[in-house]
Amino acid sequence: MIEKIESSIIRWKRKTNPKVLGIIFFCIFGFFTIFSMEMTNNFKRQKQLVQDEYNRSMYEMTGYIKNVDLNLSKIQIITDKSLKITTLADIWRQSNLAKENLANLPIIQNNMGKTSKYLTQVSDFSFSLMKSVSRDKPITEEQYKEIKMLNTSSTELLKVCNNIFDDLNTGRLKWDEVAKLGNEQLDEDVAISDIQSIAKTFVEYEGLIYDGAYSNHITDLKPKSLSETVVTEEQAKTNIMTIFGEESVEYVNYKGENTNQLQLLEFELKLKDSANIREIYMTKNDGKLYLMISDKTVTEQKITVDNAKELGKNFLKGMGIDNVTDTYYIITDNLVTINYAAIQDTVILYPDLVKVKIALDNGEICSVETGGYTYNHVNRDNLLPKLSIEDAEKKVNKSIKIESKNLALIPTESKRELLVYEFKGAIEQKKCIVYINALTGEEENILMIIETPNGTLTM
Amino acid sequence: MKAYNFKKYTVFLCVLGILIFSLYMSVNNININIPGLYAAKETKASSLATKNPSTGSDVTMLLARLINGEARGEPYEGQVCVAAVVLNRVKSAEFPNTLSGVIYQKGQFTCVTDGQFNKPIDTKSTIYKAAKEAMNGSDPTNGALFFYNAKTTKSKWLFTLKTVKVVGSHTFAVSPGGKK
Repeated sequence: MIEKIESSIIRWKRKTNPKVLGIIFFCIFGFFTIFSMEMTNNFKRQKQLVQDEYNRSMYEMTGYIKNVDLNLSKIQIITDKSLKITTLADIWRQSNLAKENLANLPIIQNNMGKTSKYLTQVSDFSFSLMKSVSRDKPITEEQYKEIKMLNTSSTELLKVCNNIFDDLNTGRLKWDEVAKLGNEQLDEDVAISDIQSIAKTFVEYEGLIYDGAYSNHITDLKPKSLSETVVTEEQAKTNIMTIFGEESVEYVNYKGENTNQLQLLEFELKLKDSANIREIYMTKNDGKLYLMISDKTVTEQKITVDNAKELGKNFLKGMGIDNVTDTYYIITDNLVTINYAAIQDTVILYPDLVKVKIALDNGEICSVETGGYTYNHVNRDNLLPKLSIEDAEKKVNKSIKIESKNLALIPTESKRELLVYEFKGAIEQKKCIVYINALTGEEENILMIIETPNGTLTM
Repeated sequence: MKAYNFKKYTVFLCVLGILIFSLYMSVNNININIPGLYAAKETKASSLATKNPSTGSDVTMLLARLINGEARGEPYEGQVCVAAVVLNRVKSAEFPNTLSGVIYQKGQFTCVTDGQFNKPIDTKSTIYKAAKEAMNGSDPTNGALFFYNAKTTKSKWLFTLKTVKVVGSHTFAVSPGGKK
């Protein structure tokens, strides 16, 4: 075929002027050249845009860290309460921004994880300090020591940042080189080692324990509801059989152990009357059901949510969890997820949550999640309020029409527990819940309730 | 011009042309729909426009899109696991503390870099349900912060991590330091 084209071209070539042919070829190649140059330019522009973004993040981060460092030094000297609060608020804000800019940089996670942790904790720690100072609790000696420790680290970090700043200004550092770096192959290059020292600064940093969501104690929490008794795989299997009824189980397979935060035993369960294969996680201590996951396609709604609530409660009873009340629910794809909270002497224990997902066609229990219950449930011994409910009610905003009130235990961000009065009410058609501390009378939290056709959300 | 030379030149030019053309297409994001070439059909609208069968905030949507990009072909449990890793990162001090921050962190999820993140979610899939399940607090990974596909990953560092669990093609892991 090519020979045919060739011969026809040769024939055509004889007929045409070689100059015209030359011009045509010149045009085609010219087009290709211009086209590829245009593409190269495009690529360069894109690359520059990304580099500029990285540079901006780096410069901004350095600026914020400089201010955090300054403020950490200042807070150790300041005596006035309101100045303390504004300075702490500034540390909270600026370290948070510094962290956000750090996350924007193309530095690999294992090089900046510790730095990120440091900045998060500085920000969270100063927020929690700010809260306590505003409630007239002075900063303790212990906390001053921690601030001093944080300040030393921030000075170190600032030095590193200044080095990188210089590298950028003199053009030694190129972000695409940094981004290309593998996780382990690092050069002796000055600029690269400056980036690496972001990680090195915090080799010694162990973290902080304070009253906040990112404190170190959160990751070390022990499940309070479990004892030290370890069960075998067989015992756990028997427990599953008891929960689901021996006659309805088709098979239970042991899949292995899972040990990280909790010691878990994994199983796979199939029931005779269901096509679903359920993944089940039993706690190694005490052999209790910790988590069950399964999926089901449900096309229609045959039972009501109230029926489902009862079914869920009965199932939990079979697991050995009684004394629960349903709180909120949400429907997704005809599957309802109901939150149950434990009750002790009419006090609702919100930290002890159990979530149950139920199919609304035949009431099948698809998923169970007992994380809150497993970690928190113990018999509480001091559930006595110091404040009367009438006194507490006086603290609630007067324009809220209160619909119901009761005593409850709520978790804080740092996983502590607060005894509160729970006032559910409405203000201008907007539903809300107000929590008043039953010991001190402080207003602890306000939740807005958003009602959708598929359930209630609290925010 | 001899015959064999001409043949060479034509083939060379054709290959060059195809190369430049495909480069041009990829740079300018042009897609041609050749039936049978792509398994998943692309629609013009982004996945954000796909009708969400569940009520949920946009945050769940974002999580669902990440599962779609990373674990479309995985079993339900594997999808919940991927979502749980993202949520564990949000709670961890070493990672950004918002969902979008974690998802868009540089070089963390390949599906965000290669655009699979923006593929529309199949409405019949279990992805929304898996995202919801994880948002409800189910964490089958028991606190894992990393996951990788052991067959395709090039990073040696990932293999130094402590494995917590393997589901489908994904290995879920934590830093060897312990429960962080």
